[in-house]
Amino acid sequence: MRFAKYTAVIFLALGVSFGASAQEATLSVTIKNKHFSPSTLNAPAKKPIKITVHNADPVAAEFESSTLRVEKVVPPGGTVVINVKPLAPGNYGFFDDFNQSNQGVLIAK
Amino acid sequence: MLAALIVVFREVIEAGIVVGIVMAATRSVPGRGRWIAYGIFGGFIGACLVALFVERITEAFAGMGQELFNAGILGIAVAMLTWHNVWMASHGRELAAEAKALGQSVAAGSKTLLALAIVCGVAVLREGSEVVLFLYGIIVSTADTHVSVFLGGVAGLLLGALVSVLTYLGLLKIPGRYLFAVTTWMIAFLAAGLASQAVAFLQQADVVTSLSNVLWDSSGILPDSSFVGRVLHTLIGYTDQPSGMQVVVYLTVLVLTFGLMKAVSPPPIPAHLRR
Repeated sequence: MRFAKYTAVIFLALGVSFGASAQEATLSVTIKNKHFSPSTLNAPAKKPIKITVHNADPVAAEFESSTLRVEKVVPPGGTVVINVKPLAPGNYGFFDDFNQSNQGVLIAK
Repeated sequence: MLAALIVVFREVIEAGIVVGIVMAATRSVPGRGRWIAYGIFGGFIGACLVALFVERITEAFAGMGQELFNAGILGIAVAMLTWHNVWMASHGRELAAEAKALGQSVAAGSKTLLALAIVCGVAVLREGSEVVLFLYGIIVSTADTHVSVFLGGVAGLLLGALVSVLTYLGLLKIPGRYLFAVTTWMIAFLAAGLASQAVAFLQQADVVTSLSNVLWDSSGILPDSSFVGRVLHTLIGYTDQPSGMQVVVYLTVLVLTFGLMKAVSPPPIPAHLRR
């Protein structure tokens, strides 16, 4: 128990806040027939965001965005979760690196 | 076809540059070609395995397996590069002296060939797994154009190899007595850049959370996605929106490398004892 207590203190000291998950915005997007659906995601600004990306196609995709600082392979038929730090209001483009004509945008307000 | 060529080429630029630098750093070390070839081949096999098990890796560590895997292998590369530089600083001179005594033109460094072979392997493994997934996706897709797209991908790979050759030949233009100093600096910056990339993955996985704010945004001047941005990203670890922690780790690796090199290097030979 003491160990758990210390661990909790250490994590808090490192800036990990256990309450953050309650305030997180969650978004989800599906890649189907080589297109993001929806291709426009609305998210609150200044809050941590979790994006769930599901790939319904039989080939791998790579969810990538330089402005969101994300680069993650989405296996065929697989689902990945992407952590995004709190964003300033604005538009953040993302795309499938394996099929760059497939693009979308995240709008933080 | 052109799109596939660009996708693959973008992925292999980094590995191409790394292999070129390693080739130059080990110039005239006997057996280096064989070791580096092993490294590249090992990286290729690794890339295929990663592509094959991408789902397992993705699901590991509560869905953060890809990030932790990438951070881990980048960490290995940083350790190997730093070790090479420090080892060379402590033994380079005696090795060069030994080689001269034996009448060989050995530039020293055969002892750290394994470390550098691993660095090449890691470079190929990391971006290679994406290339494998991308090309595999094209092969299994039923589109009529897949042959031409596949050929584009192969052309991209060959261009990546060309980057290797050009990096190597470019570095060889540097006079021999400066080459070692130049490759030492390049390897130090390479290590610092890879360490900062590893931090970015740890931040993406929410493992590292402090100093996660973006320090500056130079994407308007030189975006990461541009060709020059990509090359600088590999050479010196340039990134257009670095986090505070990335910069801290970057500088730490540089200071640590040069500090260790200074600490282990033998005292200079007094002038009256030279020759």
